[in-house]
Amino acid sequence: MRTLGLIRTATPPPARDLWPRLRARLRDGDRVHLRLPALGWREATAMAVALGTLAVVPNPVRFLIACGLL
Amino acid sequence: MPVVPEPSDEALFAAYRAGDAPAFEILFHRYQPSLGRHLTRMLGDPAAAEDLVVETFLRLHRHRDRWREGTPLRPWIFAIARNLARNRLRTERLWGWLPLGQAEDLREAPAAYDEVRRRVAAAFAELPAAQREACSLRLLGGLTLEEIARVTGAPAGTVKSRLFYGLRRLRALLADLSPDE
Repeated sequence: MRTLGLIRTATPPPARDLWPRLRARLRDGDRVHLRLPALGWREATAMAVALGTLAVVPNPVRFLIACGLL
Repeated sequence: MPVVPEPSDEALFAAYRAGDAPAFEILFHRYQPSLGRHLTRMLGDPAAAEDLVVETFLRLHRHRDRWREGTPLRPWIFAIARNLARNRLRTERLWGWLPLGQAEDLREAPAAYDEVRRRVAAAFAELPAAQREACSLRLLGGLTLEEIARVTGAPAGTVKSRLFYGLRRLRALLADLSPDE
């Protein structure tokens, strides 16, 4: 039986109390936190072009169909 | 003075489901050592084991309505932990294939282990996966043979055989560390 005792003592349990971590996660509930990536100049340009196109083109849906995007 | 018996795991969980929040904390503290030890041995990484101890109880909380009163809780808790550990190991293997250069290794350095710990870890690593899991569940998780069968989904006879051969191998590998045996 000494070997089995040895195995138990050689595998220590978590050194710290993990309850505070679990409690924090429980308080958070099932909420999903969305973290959006920082908006760079490429993303800003793409959005400006998209919004500008929609504003300038008289019939955006027909335009998108003509472009093969819809 | 009469000794008041401690409430069973099932009684604590039933109380938690009925709205007794502190019962969950008692249950968690009851399982943290054994679950932590078992997961440390299965993952070989104490930090990852801590994550999964927390995650296991988070799942237990989320799926608390699925538990049917009268069914034993311990096999269910260890089965949740088992699935999480398997997913983690699978993901680690996947990441291992990706050419990410030198990934930062946050695991405890082997040098930090003392000799006995290193030898025990090496002995477990030598066992086939099924034997390693059965031995860890028995020795570190404290599960009975029937509970191990429930957790792993293997017949009791198979679990018995895994334990027999696994423990025999562990004893042989660690014989020089406990010469009085």
